[in-house]
Amino acid sequence: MRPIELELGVIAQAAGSARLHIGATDVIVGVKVEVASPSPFAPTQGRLGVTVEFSPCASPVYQGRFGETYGEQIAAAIEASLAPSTRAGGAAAAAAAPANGGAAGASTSATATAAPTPSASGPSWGLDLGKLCISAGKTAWALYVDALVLNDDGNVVGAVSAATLAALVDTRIPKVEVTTDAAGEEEIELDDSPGAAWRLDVSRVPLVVTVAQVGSQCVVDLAAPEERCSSSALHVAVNRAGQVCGATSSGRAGVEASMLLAMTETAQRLAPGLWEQIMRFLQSPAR
Amino acid sequence: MVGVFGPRQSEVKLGFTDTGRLNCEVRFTSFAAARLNKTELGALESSAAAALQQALEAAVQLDKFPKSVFDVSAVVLEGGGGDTGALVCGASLALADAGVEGLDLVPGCGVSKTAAGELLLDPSPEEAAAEEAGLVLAVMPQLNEVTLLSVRGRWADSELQAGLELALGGCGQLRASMRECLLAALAEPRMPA
Repeated sequence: MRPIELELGVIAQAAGSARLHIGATDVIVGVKVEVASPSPFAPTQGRLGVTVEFSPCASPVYQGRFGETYGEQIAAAIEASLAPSTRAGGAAAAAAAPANGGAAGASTSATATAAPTPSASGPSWGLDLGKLCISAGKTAWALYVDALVLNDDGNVVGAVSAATLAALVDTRIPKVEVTTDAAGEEEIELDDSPGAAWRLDVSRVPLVVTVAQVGSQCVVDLAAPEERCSSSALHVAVNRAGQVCGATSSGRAGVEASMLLAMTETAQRLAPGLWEQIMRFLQSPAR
Repeated sequence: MVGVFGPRQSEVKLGFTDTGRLNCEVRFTSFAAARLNKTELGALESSAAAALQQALEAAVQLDKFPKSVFDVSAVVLEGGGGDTGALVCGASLALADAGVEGLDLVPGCGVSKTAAGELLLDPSPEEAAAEEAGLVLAVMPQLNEVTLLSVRGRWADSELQAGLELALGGCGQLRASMRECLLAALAEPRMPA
């Protein structure tokens, strides 16, 4: 892979941000946290929203609708890798709603974990959205991940994914106390001091690795001219243990089934090492 | 329900292309997907359309139709689980029925993995809601080429392989019945348009 350059805290206003260069590819990711009301289908969970935008100077093809739909696809892939079933299906969320309702009111402070529910019993991977709950059914943190692709020199999905991981590590969420006053009304107190802020647990967040097929070979980290040669690509989300947490295919040609397995295996071999490297950099005292 | 229109001339603003384009559109009826608000429905529709386009593009010989566009419009009348697979099957049949030259029929189906590790082919909405992980696959069975794969949730290696094989088997069954259906449609006398 090409060397990766990573910068943290590039946006002062954001709760967390990161800028990543890989080759000439340049991606900037900001994480914004807001107090919002939780989704009615998951009252004990925070919200998560991912958007990916392309700067029109990245490449002329991103002007107009193509950039929008392509951005949406990448955002969906990243969002699916961060948290199970936020976008996967409304039906799944709707069916899980009654089960979650039983757990409402169990957690009172921001740090209390939500009671386990059958559908999302402390998700085995991704972010634990239950920790983002402030007051069950009423308020919860909403996490907005906004990515901007400033320049496209290939491997955009991988770059956005790695930058998102770094930005999430950088994110500080203010501590919140919920107090109940004499009238029985809940009041939320926000402790704005930087020392009281807490960070997200990213240890189970997977990285998305794009494996492309060129001829009969699997290749990773293609530059823009190389990407033109690939007939199809598979974006695989892999966690630090090397387990597959999701995959989406793209490209205009089909892939043979055996090739598909070879592609996922390549991603599984690559991702844990990459994950450790990024984490080691992020936790190094020099930062 | 899927309709195919075209080929028609490509819009001038999109510029010249020597290959054709497939323009997919998916709509859900307001009663098809229960308890979704407008924006969620919009997101669902656009993701379904993207998946449909991805699945079909590889199968249609678009280089035979330069400068032209096919419009594939699909309406989901009732969402009862496995919507994406059904959409792909329907659209592929509609394209074949319209006489668009393709490489193969494209059946699509879903597999979901329960918490106990069981694999279920073509899950119902209840099964899909309780799933731990799932995948949707569209394939050209004659060429053994996968055109669409989308995987959710965490899979162990052997499980993913077993899931893929189950889905491939399901797609093989679907192709047989799709072929029968097309042949039956050809045998019937058509009303003049």
